Amino acid sequence: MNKKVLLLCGSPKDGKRSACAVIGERFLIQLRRKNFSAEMRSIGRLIKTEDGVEKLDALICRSDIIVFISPVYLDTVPSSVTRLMELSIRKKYFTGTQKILAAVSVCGYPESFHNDTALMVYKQFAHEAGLRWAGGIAIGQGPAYVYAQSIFRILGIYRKMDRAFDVAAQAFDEDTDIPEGAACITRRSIIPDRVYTFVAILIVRLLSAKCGAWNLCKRPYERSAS
Amino acid sequence: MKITVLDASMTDARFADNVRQQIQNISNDEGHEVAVFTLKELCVAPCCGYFRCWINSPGTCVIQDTVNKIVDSIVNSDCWVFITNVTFGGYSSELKKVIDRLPPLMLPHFMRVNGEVHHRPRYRKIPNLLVFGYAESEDKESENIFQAIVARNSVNFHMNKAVAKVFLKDKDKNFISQKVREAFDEVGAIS
Repeated sequence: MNKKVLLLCGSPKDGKRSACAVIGERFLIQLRRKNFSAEMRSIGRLIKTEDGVEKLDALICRSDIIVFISPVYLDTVPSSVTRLMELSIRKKYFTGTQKILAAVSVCGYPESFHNDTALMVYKQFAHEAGLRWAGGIAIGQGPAYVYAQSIFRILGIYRKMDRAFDVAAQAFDEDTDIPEGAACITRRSIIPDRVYTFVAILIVRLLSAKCGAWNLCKRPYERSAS
Repeated sequence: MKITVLDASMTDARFADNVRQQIQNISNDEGHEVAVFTLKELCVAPCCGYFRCWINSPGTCVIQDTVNKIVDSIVNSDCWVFITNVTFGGYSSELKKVIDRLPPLMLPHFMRVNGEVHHRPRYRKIPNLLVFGYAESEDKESENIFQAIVARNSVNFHMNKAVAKVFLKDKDKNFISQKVREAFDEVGAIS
């Protein structure tokens, strides 16, 4: 029987505008190529309601491998992911199971090491929940995967990421940990840091100008007396 | 000195009460002004992740709730204090919900800090950060992660100094009071 993989997307954004959703779709392709039955669900949407939590419980229950694919917000996992982790311990989602946990952490900074503390949290969660930790993949320059999708496709930039996901899928298939090599593939910057930061701020300026916000450096809460 | 306390303790009110009591004692002695936000009593929406606080209304979160009051307080504080359960080495989801809403404190522009790329601070005030974590049982790995996250936060928020202390369930009031005093001393909040 095919193993079931559940990708839990921690981005609060809806649909295709999230880097995690774009990257998650690439992972799904590689998983399905290895004959896994794989699906991706949004954590934020599911944990909003009791009904959603029940659905999540059922989804987790029938999965063999759980993969968090989530952005890093201020050095660690977003609140919705922490909330799900707290719930899963309280409701004993994983008690007595032999499930595997892995994580793909995506940050907006050019360097991927900003994901390291978030990956430590996932690993600690696996330990406390009694799951087998299979490893983590760190990806920097997350927004580039949304704003430069067409260019990346033309230049074949997704190939590197696909290779990493292929190695991870192979590891799941063989019941082994994700090799360090897979994590290393995505750790290297795809765009030079200076080019990335220059383009990022240019995009922010263009988007804010469209909204009529010209001064990006406002200090609305600063009190002159302080 | 102005101090803003975010109390996100969920499971042990006694621990948070002890920490808060000691902060109040120190503040009375030193003449500090303290603002306390008890997060379990507040309704906080999670960040929607669209960076509208940089693009649409620079410096202000577009979600109108208590977080705007919290941001107003911490922007004008010299010391931020977080009280939280240590949750898989990180902050509790209630505290994280507020922290996720703090990007308006930074600018979208980048700068290098110790060779790493970070966002520039929006405000001129450089505060200190004190984090008091409560753990159910001893777990060195979890404590190390907690210390690492606080250290990384202090770089991202451009803090002057950051101190993190983790307490175990069985520690008594005197022990907690002493450690809180030590932490305040470390950031120069005790004369």
